[in-house]
Amino acid sequence: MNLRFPAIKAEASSLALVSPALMLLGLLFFYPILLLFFTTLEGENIGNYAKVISSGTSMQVFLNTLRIALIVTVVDLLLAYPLAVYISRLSPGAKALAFFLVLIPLWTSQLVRTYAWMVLLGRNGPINNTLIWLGILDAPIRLANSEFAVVAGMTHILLPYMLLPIYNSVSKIDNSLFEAARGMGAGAFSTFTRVLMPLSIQGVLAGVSLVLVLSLGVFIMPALLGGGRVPVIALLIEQQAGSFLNWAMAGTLSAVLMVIVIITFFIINLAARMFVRGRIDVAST
Amino acid sequence: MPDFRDTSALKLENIRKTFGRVDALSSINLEVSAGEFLTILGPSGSGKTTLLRLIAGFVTPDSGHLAIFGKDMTMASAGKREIGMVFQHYALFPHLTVLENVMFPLEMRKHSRREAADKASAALAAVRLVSFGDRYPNQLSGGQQQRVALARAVVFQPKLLLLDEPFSALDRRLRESMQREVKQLQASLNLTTIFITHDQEEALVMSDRIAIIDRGTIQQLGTPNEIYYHPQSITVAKFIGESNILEGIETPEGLRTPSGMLLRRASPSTSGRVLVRPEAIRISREPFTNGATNQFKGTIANRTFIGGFTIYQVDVHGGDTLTVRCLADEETMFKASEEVHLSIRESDCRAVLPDAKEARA
Repeated sequence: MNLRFPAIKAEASSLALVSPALMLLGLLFFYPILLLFFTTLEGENIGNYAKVISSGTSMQVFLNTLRIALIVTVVDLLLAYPLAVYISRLSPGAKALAFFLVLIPLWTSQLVRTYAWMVLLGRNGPINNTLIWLGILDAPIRLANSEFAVVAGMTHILLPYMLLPIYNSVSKIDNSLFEAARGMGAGAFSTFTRVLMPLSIQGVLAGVSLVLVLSLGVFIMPALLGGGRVPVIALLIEQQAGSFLNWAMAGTLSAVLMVIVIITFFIINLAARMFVRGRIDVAST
Repeated sequence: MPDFRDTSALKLENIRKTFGRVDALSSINLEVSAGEFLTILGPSGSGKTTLLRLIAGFVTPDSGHLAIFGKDMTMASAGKREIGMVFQHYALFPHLTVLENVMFPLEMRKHSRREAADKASAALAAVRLVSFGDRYPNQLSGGQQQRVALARAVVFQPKLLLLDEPFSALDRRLRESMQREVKQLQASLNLTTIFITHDQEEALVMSDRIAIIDRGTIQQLGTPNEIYYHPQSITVAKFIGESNILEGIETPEGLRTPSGMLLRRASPSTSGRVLVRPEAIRISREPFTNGATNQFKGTIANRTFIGGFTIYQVDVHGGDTLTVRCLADEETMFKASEEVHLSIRESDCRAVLPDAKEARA
């Protein structure tokens, strides 16, 4: 939609429309970031950055964070893609129910969901009990307080962020395109690689970037489900700020994390430019 | 096993398909010979789309058999049937160029990229779009998209070509030129073609034969002439062309309507219904002296001028109203409530049977 006010030029009027949001962002987001950046330079100049980069521990934590984020992203992608295709083919009523089920986790407090996982994965939790009852296990194993628990919880919480953008692009694809492909001799694999994937790649990339970025900064899950065994960058930052009161170091770590996030976005954008070609405006054809 | 020794291009035997409790198709029998252009004509909801999807392989029948050039394909998947199809909204891949779209079926058949590109270019040349190969579908007009879809459907030399209401989205002028183009391409490739439409004019123009489908069964199968001049049922008569259908009692001289009109026919019948096409009725200010046996006096109730033709509703003295269609002539055009004489040849009064369903009831 094009909102136009007769007396004002288009650019000026659209600037006026976004200015309240811009001011809010500037005050509550860009200004604190700027403050944070100056904090990192206090006393040490760029010494803090040198410390972070040269420190084996913090680089390892960064790598670990990145690794967990990638695992979560890949698992969510593998879960969400088929689910999105499935939901897009449901009847309108079933679709509404499916969306309700997908959105419940989003409406629930992250803390509540995390505690739910702690119960589920506990030593006497339903999963251990079931496995013992089935005779698969002799004694309960440690499920909580592990990387597995963190990955499982994050995968669950972040699934809607992957599902919704993918569903959005999958549901816009005209069903006759799949029939046309089938009729011309394309099997399931070719139909996926030649039709479904290229036409939904924008949704996939949007979902991937959302989940990747969110899982890079996730705090509650590693803190509560990791039991101190899963070092991620958010925990390190909290430790520096909360326990050691080393605000400069906490800020530096945050700044490095921010750079990693920006690089991630940049790579995904590059991928988008490589994969997305033509004019994929499915709705208009 | 059904007998498919005689190799018609397409043979359907006792095809039946239900969706839930609805009979979408019941006992469809149809044979199409090689090179024929057959139109399946029916109103929406008649089952014609189901029939097309069944031939294409997107729907499997509950019972019955389907063979393509003598090979049983009842349960074969769509890709195995070697059928080229033009979808109603073309179904061109928006992310592929025109050339890549036409190459698609060839690449699925493991042709080399080079060979596929050559053949696709040739197919695009046949529809006069060879210079559009690098564009994307939504940079083309509707008619151009249609021609790309056509090129893509024929590029792999399919055994059958299916056209699903391909002209419905085009404006009238473009539709007529596309009809000619499709017909020419079909004839030059000698391609057996099944064409689905709800547009009776289109069906009459394009087809070798027409199958009229309604309520999931084929009501009549015949050449355009047969369908138009000898409809076997009221449904067919009403669906093709305009018609006056008069009901009455059969008498030795002919059919007498409740209002007293007597229609004499060339050949006797007991159907109790007579079909008279509006253009078969002559209209004049003077009484006819041509010796026609069916002559009536009437009053013009209503006039519709549609360019080349004028359509009159004429109240025949006594009660019946007839629709009359004649070439427009500015000087002799009749005015409302003018007295006119009508004449109908005996051979133009055709008996039609009531519909099968009515007859059973």
